[in-house]
Amino acid sequence: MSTNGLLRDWRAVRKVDAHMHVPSPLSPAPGFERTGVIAAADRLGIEVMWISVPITAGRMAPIEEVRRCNDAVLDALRQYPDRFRGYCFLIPGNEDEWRGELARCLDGGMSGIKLYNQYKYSDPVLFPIAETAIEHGIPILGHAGHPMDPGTREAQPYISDASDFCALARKYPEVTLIEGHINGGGEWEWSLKQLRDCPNVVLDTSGSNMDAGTIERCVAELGADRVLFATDMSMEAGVGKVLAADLSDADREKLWHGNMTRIEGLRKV
Amino acid sequence: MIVDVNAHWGPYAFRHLPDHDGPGLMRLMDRWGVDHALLCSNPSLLYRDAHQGDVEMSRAITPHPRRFSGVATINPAYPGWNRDLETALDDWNFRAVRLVPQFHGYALTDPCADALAAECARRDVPILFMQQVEDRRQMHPWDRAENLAIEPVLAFARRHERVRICLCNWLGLGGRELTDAGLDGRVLIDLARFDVVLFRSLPQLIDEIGLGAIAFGSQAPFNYIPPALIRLECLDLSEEDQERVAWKNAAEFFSLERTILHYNSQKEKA
Repeated sequence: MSTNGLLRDWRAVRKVDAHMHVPSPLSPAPGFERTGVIAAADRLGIEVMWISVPITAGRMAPIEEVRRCNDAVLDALRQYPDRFRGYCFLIPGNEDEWRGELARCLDGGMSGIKLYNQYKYSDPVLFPIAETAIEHGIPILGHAGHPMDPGTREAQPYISDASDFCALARKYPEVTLIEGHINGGGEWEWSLKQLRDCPNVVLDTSGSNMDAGTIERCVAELGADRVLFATDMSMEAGVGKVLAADLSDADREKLWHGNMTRIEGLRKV
Repeated sequence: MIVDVNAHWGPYAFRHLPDHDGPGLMRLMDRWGVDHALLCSNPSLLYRDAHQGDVEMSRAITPHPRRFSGVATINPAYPGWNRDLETALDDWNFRAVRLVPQFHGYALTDPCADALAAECARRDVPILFMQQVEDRRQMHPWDRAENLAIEPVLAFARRHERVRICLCNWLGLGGRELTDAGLDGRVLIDLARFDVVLFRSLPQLIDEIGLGAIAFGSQAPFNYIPPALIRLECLDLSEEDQERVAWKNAAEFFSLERTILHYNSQKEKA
């Protein structure tokens, strides 16, 4: 142990971040650069990051903007093929458009689908996307939350919570759904109880909140096979929570990288 | 040596809190290498008479003066706050005062807040403000405490230029706004929610206001402690500067030197 209680080799533990982003060409943020993402991951010993560039705030953007976002991910994959895996961001609805975009993304080396809050995931408009994910054996990462404050509810009327994930998961038991950021601000205890009986929904541990006990509760409610280490850009929080959690070494390994490696191995075509 | 300036004692009404009592907190601190913690009482947030929450906390922590120092949660809009303050500072040796207008239902512009600030200035006792206890997005339906905005705190600081202020559990602070409010040299900010490796908000704050204004804080037991340890480690400071953030700045700000040095010598003997 080091003097501050962290294991000396905490950086050396293999880590795969299931939920991360690279800069969006639509809304560049000062100081947020792709090289900075790699540098930050190096500081924390994160080997691989699954990245996406979604269009947020529920905006129904034209396909040209969706392509620009996914181009940023494709470019990142080309630059750092060993460090990044890509989620293809899609807006459900226009089937010709999203099918074409998904094919382009998968041809370019992406490994999953990312959905945001344009539609709730219980909406039938999602069904063909879930069927396509099953066909390819790729996961769908979904922006998620069960916000309790009126401001977030008003701002994100179509945000999906665990009940929406479960509805889609029950209709398609073969699909792998990743519910994003359990510590992203919503009522996480409610979410955990909803997800217990939906075995094809896995959770990622990202989010800026660091509530003590979250990770242990995730594992206790869902089992260690259904929990993924992730940061969603809250990088010290993401690593620190999993380091802190009172878990067996074997379970912690599943969170750090084992589960996401297993999900990646489900790829069919 | 680590001093945690953002730590909390007691049960919280809206969520199960692991390790919230004295033995639990000491277990956590031992596990993660935290030597001393400044504690605020959780019951004091919601009791009608906040002082009763401090009474409970003082009973729990008084046997452990080397590990814990108390912070008095004072409601200046409640009768008898002056006597509560005296009890906390003089009888229990509490090291600071916490104001939580977002829980106690007054404004920092109210005359009662100014009266308390004047007393704290006279006694040279720091006042601690927290932006939030919990993220509003996960609030219990009965938890109506909005995040504290920085503007009224800065206005308060401008009006009371002799009051030293500790800001815990904040996000989005800019060094320039703190300096403009005259807080240079009289503010201490905990690192619990600042980013170091990606967006670098903490290194930027240090550039703007100086290393002497930063202290270790975790918001234990609400939060896991290791994220704060990682932030401290990733600052990549010299050993001397890391010690300042880890404990020396806090020790100086809250006059903990004697307590900590004694504890340290005991630890070395052990």
